[in-house]
Amino acid sequence: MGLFRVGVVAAELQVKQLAAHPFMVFNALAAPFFFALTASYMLRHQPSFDPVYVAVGAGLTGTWSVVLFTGSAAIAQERSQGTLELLSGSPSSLFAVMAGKMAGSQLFAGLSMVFSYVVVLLLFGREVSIADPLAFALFLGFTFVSFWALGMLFAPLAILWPAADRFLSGLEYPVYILGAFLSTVALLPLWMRPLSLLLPPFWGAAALHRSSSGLDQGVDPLAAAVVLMLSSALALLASRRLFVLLLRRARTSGTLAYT
Amino acid sequence: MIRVLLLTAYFSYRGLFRWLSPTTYISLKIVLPLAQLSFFALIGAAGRRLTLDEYLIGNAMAVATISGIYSVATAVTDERRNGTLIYLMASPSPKAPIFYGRSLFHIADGSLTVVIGFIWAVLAFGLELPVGSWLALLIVIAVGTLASAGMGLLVGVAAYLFIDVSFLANTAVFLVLLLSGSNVPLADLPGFAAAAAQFVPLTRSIEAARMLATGAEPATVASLVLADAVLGFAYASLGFIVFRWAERRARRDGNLEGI
Repeated sequence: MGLFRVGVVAAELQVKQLAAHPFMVFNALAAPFFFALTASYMLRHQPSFDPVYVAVGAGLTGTWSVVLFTGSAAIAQERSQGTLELLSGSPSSLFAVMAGKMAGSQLFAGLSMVFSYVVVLLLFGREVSIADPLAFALFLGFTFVSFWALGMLFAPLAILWPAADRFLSGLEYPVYILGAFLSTVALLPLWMRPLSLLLPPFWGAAALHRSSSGLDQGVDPLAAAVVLMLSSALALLASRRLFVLLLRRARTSGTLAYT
Repeated sequence: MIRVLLLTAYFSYRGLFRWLSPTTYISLKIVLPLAQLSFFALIGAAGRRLTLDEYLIGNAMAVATISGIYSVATAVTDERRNGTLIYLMASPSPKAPIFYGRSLFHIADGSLTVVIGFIWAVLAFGLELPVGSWLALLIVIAVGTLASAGMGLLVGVAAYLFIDVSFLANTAVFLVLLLSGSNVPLADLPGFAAAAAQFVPLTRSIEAARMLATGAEPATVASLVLADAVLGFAYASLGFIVFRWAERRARRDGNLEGI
């Protein structure tokens, strides 16, 4: 079976599994709904308020949560299902299977953006429009690729080092904040602002907000594209190395403990 | 009775965290609440519908929902996941102390987390709390967490009957964030939502905490605190009634899967 087909099948299965997982459905749909609703009520009194800002920000929260949780649990989930042994012993590349699986997660996570847009559309009617649809679509693609690559990095990290798994589990709200999904970096304490620049989600969010509502966080779109692509490539390279390490550990120790 | 209550309280709390390392506890019970508080306070700071202090106090109090609703509901429903529900149902022990015992440690633990939330708000965002209000504020925090735990018990039992606990508990937490006044003034909500807000634990505790922070005499908030305490007991009692009904049904039908 070609690698591409392996990836497609893994992605399809992942989407089906996530759709039947109440916690993930909550993260992808219900949580962005509440964020969109709450943030709309909190921000709508501002004269400069643009509903699309809330739609994009709330969508990003759901997208990030799904990628974070499915990425860090990607391998542990196979273990709990009893399929890890078969996957590790199969001639198909584990990296390709996980790439497909995370692509499925990203696809499912993308529902957050659509759903948040619909929620805000229902709340505000015709006021919701995207300033630069072409740039928005382009940056949505870059951001999704970046999130997918981060998910690919989280998968081996979380299983190789339990401490990394615990660290990742606490990264949901901190990335909402440092990524400036629904607020601006200007409101952050001074010492926190440089941390934002280290996070690809911040660059993605800044570019998406700029192309949708015109909010300028001081990020040049070209720089955002470069950062998103470079960080994705680095994350994938690191992920590839970690998958090699993971399988080597399994084969030398004769167990699938991986740690 | 007291012994059963205390033993249940101790083991439910220990059972929820026994396999966790301190880093996981810190991640779930300190980083998550503080990050949630900061996230909503920053959105509020951008919207400026309320003062930053009001958002900080509201969201520091809302931190109580994580232990009060989520942890308590999980402690109740974990009986099924751990396979101990059948023993609980068949046990000759009085059920009331077992049921209410589930929440005892979480009320203390949750109150501590709220206190940490206030300390974070003071240190990171410059919230000012008059020293004279501290003792009364501690009482408000304890009652607010107790009221949340009452709802947590009901949500936990509801999860026996309906769906996944994480979906129900998260929905309850987000409803509190939306309707309690922590982020959206009740006057801004549509009529039906403002009416529903009166049945949300913490609505009055948050109002009381904000009044104390602006120098109100403790006696002036007594009725608000009492009302939240009554609401919490009402939720907990309703939860126990449903629990006993589910128990009777399970005994009659010889089936724990349907409840």
